[in-house]
Amino acid sequence: MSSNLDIQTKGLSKNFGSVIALQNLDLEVQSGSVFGLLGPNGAGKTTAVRILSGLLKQTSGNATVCGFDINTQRKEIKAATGLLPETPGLYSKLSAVEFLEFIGALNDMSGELLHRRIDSLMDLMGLEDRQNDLLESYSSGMKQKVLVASTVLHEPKLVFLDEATSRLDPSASALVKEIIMAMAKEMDTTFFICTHMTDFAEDVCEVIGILNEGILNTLGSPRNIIEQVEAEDLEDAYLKIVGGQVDRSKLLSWRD
Amino acid sequence: MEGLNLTRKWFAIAKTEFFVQTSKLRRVRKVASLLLLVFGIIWALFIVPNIMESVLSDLEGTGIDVLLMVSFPSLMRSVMLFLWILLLIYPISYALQEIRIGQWEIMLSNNVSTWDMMFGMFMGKIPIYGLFVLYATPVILTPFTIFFRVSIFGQIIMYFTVFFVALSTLFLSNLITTGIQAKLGESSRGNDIAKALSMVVALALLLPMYGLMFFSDSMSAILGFDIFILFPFTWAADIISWSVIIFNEIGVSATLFIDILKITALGDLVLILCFTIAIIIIAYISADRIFSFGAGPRTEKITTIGEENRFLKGIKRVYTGPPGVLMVNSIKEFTRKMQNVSRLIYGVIIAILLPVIMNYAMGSVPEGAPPEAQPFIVMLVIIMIGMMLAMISGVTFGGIGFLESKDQLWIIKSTPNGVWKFAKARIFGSFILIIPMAIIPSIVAAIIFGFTILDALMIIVYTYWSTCGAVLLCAGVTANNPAYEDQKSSAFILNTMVSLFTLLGILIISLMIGFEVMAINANLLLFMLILSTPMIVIGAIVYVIGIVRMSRPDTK
Ligand SMILES: Nc1ncnc2c1ncn2[C@@H]1O[C@H](COP(=O)(O)OP(=O)(O)OP(=O)(O)O)[C@@H](O)[C@H]1O
Ligand SMILES: [Mg+2]
Repeated sequence: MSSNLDIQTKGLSKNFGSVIALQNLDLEVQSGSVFGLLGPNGAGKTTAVRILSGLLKQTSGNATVCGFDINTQRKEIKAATGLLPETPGLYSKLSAVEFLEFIGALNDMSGELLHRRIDSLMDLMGLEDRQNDLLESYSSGMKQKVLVASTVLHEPKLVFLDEATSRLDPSASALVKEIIMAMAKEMDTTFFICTHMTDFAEDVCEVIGILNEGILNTLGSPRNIIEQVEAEDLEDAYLKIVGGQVDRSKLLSWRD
Repeated sequence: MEGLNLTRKWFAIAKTEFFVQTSKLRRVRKVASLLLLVFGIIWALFIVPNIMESVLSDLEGTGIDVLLMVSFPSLMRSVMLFLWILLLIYPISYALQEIRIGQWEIMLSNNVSTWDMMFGMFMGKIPIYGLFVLYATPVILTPFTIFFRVSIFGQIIMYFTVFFVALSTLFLSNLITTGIQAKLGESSRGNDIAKALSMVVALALLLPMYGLMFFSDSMSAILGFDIFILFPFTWAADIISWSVIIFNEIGVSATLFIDILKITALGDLVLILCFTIAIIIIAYISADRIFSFGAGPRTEKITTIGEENRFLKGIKRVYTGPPGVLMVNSIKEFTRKMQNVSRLIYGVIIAILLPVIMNYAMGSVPEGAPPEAQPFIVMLVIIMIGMMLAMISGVTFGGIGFLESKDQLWIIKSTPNGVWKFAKARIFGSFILIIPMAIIPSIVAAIIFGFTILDALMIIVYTYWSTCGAVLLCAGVTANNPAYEDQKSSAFILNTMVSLFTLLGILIISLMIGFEVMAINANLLLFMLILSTPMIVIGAIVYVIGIVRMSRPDTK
């Protein structure tokens, strides 16, 4: 039973001094499913991803990722997962191919297999013409594509995407969507996606959690959530749950 | 727009500039600046004069006082030259480390005139450099004011001159800096060029200075007049010397110094005023031209990577599999950054110049010097070459070149044992790049001093070994306290300080032990091993500790 769960957390919490970034997170993500985490800026999404991928120590609570304990088996977790960080930290002086080579080597890959994969991923992302240009000359969306490629390069069992599509054009983001769905279906890859794009989440995620001020206050399938709060779509539901109602009297009063 | 006072825009810019420069002090900056100012005044009026007074009374009758008296105009010139270089080069190379065109665009899009910007940036720099001058000037001037008992009025003129020269020099460096910055644009490539250029500018200004120091006699002979007279710092120094002569109360007369002070006090004053006014006019006229953002300098060239060269392929053949790939890519990434390469070249050039200059200086060792003087100087030169390369490589490989950004660290950390793999690739990549750096200056030194091949080999090994140690140490310090590429961060400044002081400390202690051993058993190889090995050992330990700490998951 529990072998079907790729992520299982119990009372996971994180404080930064007096700031509570994450509070008592209890979450289960099924193997091969696509999970989406929504929430306002500063809600704690990135914090959750960092803890689960073994980069950040929690203050309290516990979790297993791909069956490994986040306290003692970080190395195994890192081998089994791929992470696309929130802000792209690429090497400006490497070409896309060289960067992917570098990431592959960090994951103990090299040689023929690695190069074949890099070639086909570059092809898939539509970057094959520019693949030998230095990354400093890439646009931010192009960089993000390279990062998406680097995240799936070593065929991880579980992929964390922290705002992977925020800088992509519509067709690129549709492409990423397709990649996610194909990998989830064919390769049984699990996805943990943080995003602000409700329509994107509605399309690809089977389960959605809404995090607000460190607390997970909603969990369910998109349809489920929409019905619960009697909303039209996920964006509407999100606004109703998080409280995005705008005080119109304030909109222009800052000029006074 | 009504809220904005148009005439005070330069003030806002100056304030921002000041804040940027004092960002380390944060909230206490106002109190701290005020305290520094008050203490500086106490320092200038009471502390330094009192210390100098007692030092000078000790010197009385030793002959040094006579020397001081006869040579003070030349002394003053060298002191002012030093101040001039400091104020001219330091702000330029410092500012060019980071291009801030982005900020300019914000200001320009807010309808600020270019002159306001330049003037504001200049004014913003004054507090910091002003404090520096406030602390440095008394040390320079009080020996003379006390010795010659210069009247208060004369002292005021002297201080005023130093401050005036400092300001005009700062203005000039501000002009040069902004000019270069604007021409380079904000592209990361432009950024690299700027950083590289900052090194070249420093070198281009330093080398003639070196030349001046060593060849001024022969050059003056050729030109038929004292070549120093052509430089603004000389005019300022001479004004100070004149004030000493005119306002002294011990009866020194100008006739003693007519040979050196070729221009009258009034002439010097007119020259320096004209010079300053000329700079300001040039700045005013060129402001719009300099700050205009044409398409030219900002067009970015896209660099496409060709085939790997044979050298890198060779490395991959020796180190097969993932480690080889990591090392090669780490070398590529490092060497494609102009700032890294230019720094290393800077180090190698100075290391090559050292033996040349020292050899020249040795020609002037007085006749009566003991016979050990010659080999001692040679040994000193070798040690200095090693130290020079060690420091520059340490700061370059270990400091700035180590990690680009925090995000990069996240990516590396998210792979299994990624930090260790990265650390190994980085350090061995550096060790490979150090090889030519150690060999070239060593060979030059060997040729100049006529060493045997065996001695030359030994020197190469020593230079290489100690440079590797320095890189390990500096990289270790950085790994313990990551600063990334942000050269204004306090972490970066702290790391550089700690690295350099630790380096020097280890070198000096090794040197002392080395001399002890030399006294018992004069073996050059042993000596050099003792000199360089502690660095490697300590460096390796610090590096490993740093990597262990870096690979641990964050807690904040
Ligand atoms: N390293 C840190 N040190 C201190 N506080 C931090 C740190 N990282 C995050 N925080 C705080 O934790 C809270 C959650 O931040 P987090 O980055 O997880 O939010 P997020 O949900 O990813 O937001 P966004 O949608 O803007 O990316 C914020 O209040 C933030 O200020
Ligand atoms: Mg985030």
